[in-house]
Amino acid sequence: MNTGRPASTRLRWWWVGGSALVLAVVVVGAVMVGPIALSPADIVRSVVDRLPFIGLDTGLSDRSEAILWEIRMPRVVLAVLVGSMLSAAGAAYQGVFRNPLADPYLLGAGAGAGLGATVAIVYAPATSGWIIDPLPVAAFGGAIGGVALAYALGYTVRRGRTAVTLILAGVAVAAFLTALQTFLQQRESDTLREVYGWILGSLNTAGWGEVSLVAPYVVVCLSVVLVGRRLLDILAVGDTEAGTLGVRPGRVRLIFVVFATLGTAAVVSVSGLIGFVGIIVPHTVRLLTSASYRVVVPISILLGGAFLVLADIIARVAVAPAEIPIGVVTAIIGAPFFAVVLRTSKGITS
Amino acid sequence: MKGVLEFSDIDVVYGRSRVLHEVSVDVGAGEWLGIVGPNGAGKSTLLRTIAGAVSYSGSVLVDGQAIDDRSLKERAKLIAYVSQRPLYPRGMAVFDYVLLGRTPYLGPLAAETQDDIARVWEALDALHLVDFADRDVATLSGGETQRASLARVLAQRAPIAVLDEATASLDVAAQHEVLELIDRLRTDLGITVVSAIHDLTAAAQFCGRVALINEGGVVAVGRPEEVLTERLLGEVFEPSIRVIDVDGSTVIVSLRTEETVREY
Repeated sequence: MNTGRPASTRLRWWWVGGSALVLAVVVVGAVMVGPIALSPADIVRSVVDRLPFIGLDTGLSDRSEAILWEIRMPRVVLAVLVGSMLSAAGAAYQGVFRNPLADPYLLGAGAGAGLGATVAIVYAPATSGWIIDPLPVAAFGGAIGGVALAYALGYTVRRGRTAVTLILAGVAVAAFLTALQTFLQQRESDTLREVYGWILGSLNTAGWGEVSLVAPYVVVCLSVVLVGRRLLDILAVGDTEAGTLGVRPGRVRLIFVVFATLGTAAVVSVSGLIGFVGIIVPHTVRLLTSASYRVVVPISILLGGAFLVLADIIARVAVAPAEIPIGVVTAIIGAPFFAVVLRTSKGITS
Repeated sequence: MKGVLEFSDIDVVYGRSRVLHEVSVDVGAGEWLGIVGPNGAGKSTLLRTIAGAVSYSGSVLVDGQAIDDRSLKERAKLIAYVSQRPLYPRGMAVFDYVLLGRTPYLGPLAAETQDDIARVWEALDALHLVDFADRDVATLSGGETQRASLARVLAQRAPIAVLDEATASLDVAAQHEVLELIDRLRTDLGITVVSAIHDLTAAAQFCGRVALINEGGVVAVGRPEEVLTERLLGEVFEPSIRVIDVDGSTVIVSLRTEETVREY
């Protein structure tokens, strides 16, 4: 009699190791690239120098050190956090809604954040002397508010509270909030460029401030999705059978939506509405490895971070010194890549 | 392992229509109760009360205690359920699918133990699925998916198995195999089986007792030869039904007569 799991159902170490390696390589590459060239050796030496109890002569000038630690590093770290969070949130949404097209903005988080950001840009411009920047706060609140509204609407449906009623409620809320946002944006056309730039997403303003603002949310939310990912596989057999296995589908759905939304709201509040990551990364992982959420969630976290760092390199370099909005890059490199994966694999799995 | 299941005075109302009224039926430990009746009679609804998927009045008792008084998890340790059209998630290995049966024994965040893994292999072995362990459950044939569902039921180690149309859409041979496997679980492990079953011949040959349901109410409950009679089936289904004895086995068929040709 066999004693272990069959090989194909394990979270294989080379999937984890390979993804971590890809992430590491892309991160070092992103830190190297820019108007001032830094070698991988410089970067590794400088990182080691910053470790506690270790002092090294890094051989870098103060200026290079500053570029490395004050400009490039926070931006790369933020890209990792945003990419990981959006990918894990996308996987969680696809799981709880049993819908391959679900993404973190499905229930109105994107539309809510967009409306919040537009309100902040129009009524509280950055120059108006607020102590805290109102833009991320408004975007964060808007995202949470949008999803809360969708959930409330979904729960008022008398016989239902199913995944489908929630999705439909989300569609209604998103359409409504987007309409309000568009109305506001058209009326205040002098802020159009700024609003539009925010919606397409950017990591341009990234400093350690943004990283420390977002990191706690991302760490907590990723941990919850990671630890609870087995429950996503149980929901795959349908709400009725999941119930007879001792799991409350409604409660599981709520927990995942709360944490996926909280994390998504935190990252979009500083990066804008970077699209496509939450759909393409989990699906690519499914096609390359396994459809089990035991595998999909951790690998999506690693490769989602790597994907967004890569997209940000292209956003910075392609038309330097100008930048392409990162949301454009994720779609331009993501869509063809996804198409190739789709064609060369056995088929789409959800 | 006991497994006495009692439905008493079950009423289910959907909107303004009454789907079940005052349904009372009980099942002894280790017994196979078949629930038969026309489409829309309320067979699935009755079974779904156990799954907690419909709200009902009346009571469902397991070993004398109402299931509503137990936590969902405790319930899952007592009753395993397979729905009429189970979802077999694409990309999920048969092993992982069967492993879902261990869910009631795991903490919300705990991983499976060696014991859980061993139980899954045992279940796969009992349902002749060991060689399918890493196959995608969505690529199995009809009979194989039913066996995968039964393996999940077995891994769940519940004394009662509730199966809503376990053999719908299977060919004759696959249907026979699945029914024999269910009966083996019942006789070898003492599992109580409650199944909605549309094939009257199968009900007559496999079920120890049969409940005939029509328009939300129980018409008759008893041994197959008492319930599956030409008179009762003729009233509930159509008059052209014949109950035939073939070498000691009961066969129930609907004849095409001049009368039925005219009727349709």
